[in-house]
Amino acid sequence: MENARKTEIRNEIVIEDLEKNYGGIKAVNGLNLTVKKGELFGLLGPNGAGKTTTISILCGLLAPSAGSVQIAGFDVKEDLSKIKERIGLCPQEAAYYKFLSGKENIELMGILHGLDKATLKNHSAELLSQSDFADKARRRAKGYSGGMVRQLNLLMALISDPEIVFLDEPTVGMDARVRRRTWEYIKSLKDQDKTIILTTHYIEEAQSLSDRVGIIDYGELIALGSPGELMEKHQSRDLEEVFLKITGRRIAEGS
Amino acid sequence: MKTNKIYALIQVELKKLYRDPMILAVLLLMPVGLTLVFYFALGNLYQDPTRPGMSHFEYLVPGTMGYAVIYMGMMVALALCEYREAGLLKRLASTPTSPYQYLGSLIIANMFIGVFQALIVLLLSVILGYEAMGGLPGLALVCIFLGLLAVTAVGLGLITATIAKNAGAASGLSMIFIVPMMIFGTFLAVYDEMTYNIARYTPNFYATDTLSRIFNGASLSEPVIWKNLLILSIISLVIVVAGIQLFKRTEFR
Repeated sequence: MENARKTEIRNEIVIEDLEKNYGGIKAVNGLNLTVKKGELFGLLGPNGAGKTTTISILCGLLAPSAGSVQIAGFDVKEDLSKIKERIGLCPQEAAYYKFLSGKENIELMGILHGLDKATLKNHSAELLSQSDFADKARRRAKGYSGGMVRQLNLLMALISDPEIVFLDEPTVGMDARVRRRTWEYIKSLKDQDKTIILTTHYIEEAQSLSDRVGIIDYGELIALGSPGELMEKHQSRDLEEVFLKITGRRIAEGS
Repeated sequence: MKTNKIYALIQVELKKLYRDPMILAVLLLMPVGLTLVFYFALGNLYQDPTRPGMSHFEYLVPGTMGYAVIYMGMMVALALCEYREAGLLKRLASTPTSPYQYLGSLIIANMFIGVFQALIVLLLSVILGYEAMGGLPGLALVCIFLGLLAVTAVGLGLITATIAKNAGAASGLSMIFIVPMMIFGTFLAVYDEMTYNIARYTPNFYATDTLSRIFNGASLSEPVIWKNLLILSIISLVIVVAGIQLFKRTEFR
C-alpha cells in the first residue's frame, strides 16, 4: 500500500486510456502517459492533434469521455478542487482583465487560489521583479505590448507557486529576446522541482527545455522519450526532423 | 477565504465600471437620458382621468427605475460572452474557485449596480419635481424590490449568455426579454384586462406596481406589497437558479 502511494507521488501525472469524444470525433484516443515529479515534459503535435484538449482535461476544464487521470495522487473525477489548488494554467490565449493592472491581474489569481495577504504580496513582488513590466505593473494591462501580455499570462499561472504548471504555447507572440529569457525562466521553475507540461509549436523550444517529449497526433501518443533518445531512434539531427518524419509519415499513411 | 474570493471578484466587476469609459457612460447616461426624455416629452401630459393631477412622467418614474435594472441583464450577458471569448472564464475555472462563487459575485455586484442605476432615476426625478412618498422605510423596501429585480436580470443575462455564441448575438437575444418587460411591465400606461394579464407574467410588473404604491403614499403594511414581494422573490429565485444551472453546463466555454 505504502509502495503504491510512493509510486503515485513520484509519478505526478498518471494518464490511463484517456479518451475525449466530440460526437463521432475522437480528440483524445486512448492516451497513456506518466510524468514524473520535477520533470519538464514537452507535449508536441500538429494543430488539432489533441494537445490543448489533453491539457484541459488535466486541469479539470473538460471531463474525460473515458479513462482515468491522476494528478499529484488525486483523481480528476473525484478530487478536482484539490487538484486545482496544486496547479497553475498558462492558457494558449492570454486571458486577463484589460481594465485591471498587471499587478491586479496577478494578485486576483493569487486570491482565487486562496493565498493569504502576506504571501500574496511577497509572491507578487517577486514575480514582478523578474518580469519586463515591473515598472508598468500598476498600469492597466490594456496598454501592454504583446510580449508583456504573454509574460503577464505566464505570471498569472505562477502566483500561487503551484506544484504542477501547464504551459500551453507560453511563448507565442514573443520576440526572440523575450522568448530566450522566458526559456531561462521556465528552466528556473524546473530547478524549483515543479512539474511542468509544456505544449509548443517551437520544436527547438521543446528540445532545449524538455526532459522528455511526447508527440501526439489524432489524439494518440505516437512517440515518447528524451529528445536525444528520439533523435537517435529516428536517426535525425534534431527534434524537428523527428517531428516531421513521424507526423509526415502518418499524413502519408492517412492519404 | 471563500468570502475573500467573492469580495475580490465583486471588486473586479465594480472596477470595470469606472475604468471602462464606455460602460461608465452607459451606466450613467442610460438612466439620466431616459429620465430627461420622459420629463421633457411627458412632463406636461395629464390625460389619465384615473390619476388626476399626476403627469405621465410621474406615472412612469417607478417603471423607469425597474427598466434601468432589467437593462442590466443585457450588460451581464454581454460581459459574460466577452469574458468567455477572451478565455477568462476558462482561466477562472482552472482555479479552486467554484462556479457558485464566481456567479454569486456577479449577482451581488450587479445588484448594487442595478439599484444604483434605479436610484439615479429616482434622484433626478425628485430634482425635477417628482414627489416620492414612503420615507426611509419605503425607500429601503424599494431597494429590496430593485435588488430582487436585479437578481432576475442577472439570471436572464446568464440564460442569454448560455444560448448566445458571442457578444453580438447576446445583445440581440437580450431584446427578447427586455422588450416585452419594457412594454408590459414598465411603460404601458393604460391597462385593459388583457394587457394587465400579460403584464402579470413579467417580473418587473411586481416591482413597478409596488414602487408606484409606495411612492404614492400607500401603507407599507398593505398586503398587496408583501404579496408582490413574495411573487418577485420566487420569480427571481427560479430564474437565477435556472440561469446558473444552464450557464454551468457550458463549462465556461
